[in-house]
Order: sequence, then structure tokens, then C-alpha cells
Amino acid sequence: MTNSIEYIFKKFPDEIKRALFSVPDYVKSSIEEIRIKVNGSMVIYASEKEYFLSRDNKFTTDRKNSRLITNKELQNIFNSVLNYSVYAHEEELSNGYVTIQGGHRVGVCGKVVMDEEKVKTIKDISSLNIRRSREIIGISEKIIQYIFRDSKSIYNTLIVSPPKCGKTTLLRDIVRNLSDRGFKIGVVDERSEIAGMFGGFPQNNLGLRTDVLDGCPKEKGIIMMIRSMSPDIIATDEIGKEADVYAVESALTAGINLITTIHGYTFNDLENSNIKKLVKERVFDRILFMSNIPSVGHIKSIVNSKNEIIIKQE
Amino acid sequence: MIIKGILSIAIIGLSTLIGYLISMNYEYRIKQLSAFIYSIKIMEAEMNYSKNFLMDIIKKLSSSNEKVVSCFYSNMEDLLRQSYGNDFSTLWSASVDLSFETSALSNSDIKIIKDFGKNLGKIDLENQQKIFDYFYKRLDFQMEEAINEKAQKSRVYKNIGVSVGIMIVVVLI
Repeated sequence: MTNSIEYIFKKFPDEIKRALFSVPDYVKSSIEEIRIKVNGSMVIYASEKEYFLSRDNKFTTDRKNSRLITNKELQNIFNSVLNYSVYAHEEELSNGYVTIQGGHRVGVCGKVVMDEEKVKTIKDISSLNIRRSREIIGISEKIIQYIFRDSKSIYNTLIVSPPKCGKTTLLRDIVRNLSDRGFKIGVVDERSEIAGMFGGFPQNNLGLRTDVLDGCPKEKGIIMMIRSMSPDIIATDEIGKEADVYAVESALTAGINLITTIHGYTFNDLENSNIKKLVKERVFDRILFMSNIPSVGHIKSIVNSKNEIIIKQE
Repeated sequence: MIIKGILSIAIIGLSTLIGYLISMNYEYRIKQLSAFIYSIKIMEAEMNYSKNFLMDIIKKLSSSNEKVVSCFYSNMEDLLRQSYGNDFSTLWSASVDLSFETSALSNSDIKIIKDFGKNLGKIDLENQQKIFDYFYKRLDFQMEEAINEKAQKSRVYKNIGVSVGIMIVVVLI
């Protein structure tokens, strides 16, 4: 599998690579993030637990035994994660993250270089957050029936949850599922998280009939997708800007259905967000609330546009 | 008498050959420097216009016409494959040692090539361009030196080869 976590491990220097590969399989399979900080620790986040790189180059839950990452090590990891080609990622770096092979996302912090009003790049890298792209085929199977209006159309659907609850993973599988069932889907992947495009190829399976506009702002991408690809459904991640509302309205006017996600906890949060206009106009016929309790990807409830419960599971 | 004649011709021939080979080193240095500069120009264009990854560029350059240069990139490609994740400049330096040890390049040429690898791929295009420009300036100077050396010493070594051969023959006979 191209999005295997081992693709990330291979990018580390030998001694850290060995430590990563020796992590038990049950930890490996549940890795969510790897955070590395200069003069700080290297930490694996997996299943709500933290594993620190120790002085003897092993990962342990004992924080006191953790070792510091030197500046040289961090710069080296940063460089190799970017395929020794920082110049090829300049544009992405100005957004603060880079998508690497496998669709994983590397968040970068350091000294921001400005060019007038625009962020030009980031230098003197001080910390990295390698966020694993998870593709879980089949997780949408249980809820897909609630999204269908009839066999030929779906409800406009909004997935709501706080960060790290699996919104994007669910959205990705819904896209794949609907695409394989015959829908033409246009994905506007502003942050390269849905498709995980790398070198022009989606690193995740989005189905047979899915087109991807990668790295394009949603408000522009939705309009472009409508004009260029005539999709049945447009899927996008994390709406929330006021400009997104206009783009969503354009899609609806064109008779295109929408599946998207937003950060939040409750219906009330939506009514007070930047997309409140869409909520009040009852644009989203299906709203899925997710949480990470008892585990990531848990769907707490599905409601309709009037906040009437369709299913609820605690 | 015949043996003496054959021996004399052999000595003069050998000594001329040694002189010729030493003089050819100057020629090879120019050839290798120019092939290396050409390869860096291809690298620069690949970075600027195609934004290809360094590893792909190195792979492409490993099929260069000049053997020493193609050998260098081929070694670099192998090292990257075997030790991916380690410091790029360390691998670059190791490949330089491995490939140019027996080449015609001078120690100062080799040092410049090693220095060039220190920031390769680690910085943005604007700064990468400055590194390229600085590298060209330094290697142009080396090239000038190599051409002058060739002009001054190449013929001298050829002549010395012949002369030493004749001298040995005269002394021995």
C-alpha cells in the first residue's frame, strides 16, 4: 500500500528509522501523528497514548527517559521527508504544510519569511508534525443508506466533529463508495488531505468516477468544478469561511449535491458558525455528528436539516 | 646490436608514453570539469523549470556521457537508495570520494564539488540559484586554471617523456 506508515519511517535517519520499525505492530497500526521538535522530543501519538524517543533510541511511554532532538537531526528529517527537494515544495510550504507520498501531511513551524503581505516560505524549521493519512475502506458502508435520497441522488451532507475524530477519513470513504456506485464526483481538495495527491496521482482510493482539483481554494474550486467537470456531487473538506457559502450556493443552484465537513460539536455550533446561513436555509439534509469516544470515527448521531434525529448511538 | 636497438626503442617508447599519459591528465581534468559543469546546468534547469525531485534528477544524470560524471551520479543514486533518510550532504561527499578519487580532478576541484552538495536541495529556489551561481564562478576559475596548466605543462611532460627516454638510452649505451 502506497500510504503505508512505513513510507514515512523510511524517510528518517538510520537510528530513528530502526526505532520506528521496532515499534510494536499494534502501535504502528494506530499511529495518528509523529511530532518532532528541535531541542525537544520526538513523540508518536497513537490510540490516545504518547511514545517518546528514548536515549537508547527506542520508543517508550516513559517521558523522563526521552532524548532531545538536535537541530541537525530535525533539519535532516525535514529535508529527507521532502525528498531532499525543498525547492519543489516552496508553494506548499508557504501554507505551512506539505503533502508527501502516501498522502500524509507534514506540518512545519519555523521562521516565516514574508513577501509583502504573502507568506513566502518557512525557514529555520523548529518543529514538524507528520500527520498520517488514513484510508479505511468500507467505513462509510454503515451510514451510506442515510445519505441516499433515492437511488439516483443523495442528500446534501455535512460531517461535523472536533479535530482528530475521523471526518476526512469518513468523507474519503463516502466519496469512494458513491463514486463506485455510479456518481460522478468532483473533489475540491484544498489541503490535499482527501485524495492526498502526490506527483499528480491520488494516493487514496476515491473511486472510479472521481475527479480531483488539488490545492485549490474551495470557493474557487467549487465554481471551477461545476464549470469544467459537470459532477453529480461535489465533495470538499472543512468549510467554514464566509466565501465558502457563496460557492456552496452556486453548486446548489447548478443542481449539484454537496458533501462536506466542518469543525464543531453540536447543531448549535453550526447555527453560530460562518455557514449559519446555509444551516438556517436548511441546505444540509443530513448532518453527521462524530466523536472519538469510544474510538476515532464514532458516529454519535445523524440528524436532518431541522435537527431531528434520524439515528443516535452513544 | 639488434637487441640494443629494440631495447632503446622500447625505453624511448615507454618513457614517451609515460610523459604522454601525464600530459593527458591535464586534458582529462578539463574534460571532466566541463562535463560536471554541464551536469549541474541540467540539474539547475530541472529544478527551476520542472521542479523535479533531486533523486530523479540524479537518476537522469547517471546516464551522462562522461564516465567519471555518470559514475558519480550512479554512486549517489545507490547511496541514496541504501541510506535514504541520512544527511544528503554526507552522502554527496561520500559519493565524491568514491567516484573522483582516481579522476583527473584536482583536490581543490573536489573540495568545491563537495561544498556544492552541502546546501543542495535544502533551500528554496532563490537561494538555490545563488548556490548554483557561486558554484559556476568557482568552477570557472578552476577551469581557467586547468586550461593554463594544460597549455604550460602538457607539452612539457610530453617532451620530458621523450627526452628522459633518449637520455636513458644514451647513458645505457
